[in-house]
Amino acid sequence: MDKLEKVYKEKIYDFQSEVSNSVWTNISASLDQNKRNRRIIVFMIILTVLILLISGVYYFILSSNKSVTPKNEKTSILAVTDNSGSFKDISTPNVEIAEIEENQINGQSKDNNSDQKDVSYLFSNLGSSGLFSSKELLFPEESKINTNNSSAISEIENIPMLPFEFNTIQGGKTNKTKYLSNNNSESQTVYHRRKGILDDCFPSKINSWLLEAYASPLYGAKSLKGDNEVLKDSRKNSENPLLSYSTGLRIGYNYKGAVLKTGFDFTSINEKFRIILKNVISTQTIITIDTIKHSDGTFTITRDTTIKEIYGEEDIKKFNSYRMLGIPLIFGYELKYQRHSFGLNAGVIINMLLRKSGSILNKDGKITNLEDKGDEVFMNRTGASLYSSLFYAYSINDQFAVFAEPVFTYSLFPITKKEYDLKQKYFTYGISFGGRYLF
Amino acid sequence: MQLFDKYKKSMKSLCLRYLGDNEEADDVLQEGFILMFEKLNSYKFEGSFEGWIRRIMTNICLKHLIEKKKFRIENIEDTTDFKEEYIDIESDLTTQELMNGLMKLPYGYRTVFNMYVIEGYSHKEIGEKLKIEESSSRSQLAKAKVFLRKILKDRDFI
Repeated sequence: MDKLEKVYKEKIYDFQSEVSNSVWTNISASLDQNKRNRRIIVFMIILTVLILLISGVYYFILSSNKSVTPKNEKTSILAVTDNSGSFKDISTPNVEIAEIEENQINGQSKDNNSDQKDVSYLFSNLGSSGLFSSKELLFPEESKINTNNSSAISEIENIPMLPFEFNTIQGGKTNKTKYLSNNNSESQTVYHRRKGILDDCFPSKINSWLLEAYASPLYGAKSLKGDNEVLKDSRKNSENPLLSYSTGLRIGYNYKGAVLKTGFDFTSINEKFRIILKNVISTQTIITIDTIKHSDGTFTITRDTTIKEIYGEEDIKKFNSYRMLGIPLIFGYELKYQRHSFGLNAGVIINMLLRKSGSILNKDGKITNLEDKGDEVFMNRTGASLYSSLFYAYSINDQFAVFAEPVFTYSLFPITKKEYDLKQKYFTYGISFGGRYLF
Repeated sequence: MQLFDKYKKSMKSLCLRYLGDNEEADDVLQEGFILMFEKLNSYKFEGSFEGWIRRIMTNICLKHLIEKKKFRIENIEDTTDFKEEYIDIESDLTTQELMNGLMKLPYGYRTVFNMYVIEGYSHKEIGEKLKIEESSSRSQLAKAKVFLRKILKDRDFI
């Protein structure tokens, strides 16, 4: 180590410089903010787990069994109505059945003939199918209508009855009526499912919980408003949109077509920052060493150091990103036709966190780094955005569907702070693609 | 806050030595202490605590310099090897004057000088951190010292 190095090491290593009072204030504020952000994230995670737990408890423990699971593979409809409205016992095709009076539909049999058992019915309008009339009877296990066909009775008795509701894929509005047996000793709700016909129907999920996961490519159109035209122009010229995206998880409930959803949405609005700095100076050091030999044999070494300043341009490119975590609250209405669902949604996304990275120009034309000074310009939470979408889903089976959803969002509040010269907002549009699980 | 009060002045000097600007040094100092507090649990009691903080601060200064300033250090072979006689000026100068002189160096020279002479990194470590050859680090140090001597000799830091 030469003398210069020694002097610097000894004197400069522990050199003390004064620190501005605002440094600790900023450190303390930042640490508090980080702590708050961590608490919010932990809260979100706990909320998600609670929602999933409650849903799981409801599904597995509290909800009744909605699926039809006959122990016996063989099920049969014992009677149908033909186009004339009379009922025909198909288990014994040659036996005619007396017409059932209308007031029996609600489960109260008028006829207490001892040869007849009490009858309860489920009626549903299945629409015009070509196979059935507009009404179809489903008979309970105790059914017997003016027939002495004991084999039909025993066939019915072997089939356990479980309640369910169904939709028909053949269109038409479905009315379901729970009915009670007129059996005096107990009342039960029973249905009878026709094999081979109703197999094409999905067990009803009209009232059901749903879980959705999605991802969306987006375009973020930025709006910059304010009186500082110079700053506005410089920012518009230096920042350009790139492909943005969002992804999320939603849980919701569908009540007769009306849908309410919430969950988490993560959106990243991406931009390219580019500026060419002119008159950038770099230095070049040129050291010239001359050796002069004297007549007496000695040498003199001279050294000349020249510093050259070189002017040029610097092309600076950065990737800007505004990443937002929000909670959507969405209301919608869906119509289902066979395997297709169409819907309209509207609501809000409440922003919980905004993280920014990259660079922007400040009012002096200098580059401001968003990781360091972004909090001076942008909020950490940006309020709410309006959300609207069209919805199309295709049901793969009674539980899973895939969907596409053109989506539009608009920031209600600027993401910049009040003190900043400009108000920066975003309007995003894109298409969400995702999957839905019904339970 | 006690930790901050104990180390703030020496760390501010460190940041000032690398960045050369008081405001930037405050910003980086802030960032360094925030990181230090967040990573406090990861301190493994290997080496001195001050040494650990110095390493954090140095890394943040280097990151700031590389990302923001984009200074370039050329990989040049240094073939100069000679004996010189220089006027002994260093011992006449106050600490503040030495500091001022150091701050006059261009970023590249100053960074290597700081890392080698003050922080005690080897040329190999400097090469790894700045992604340059070891020989370039040596060359930059030699040039830095020449440049610095000229500044100090000419009192070109006032």
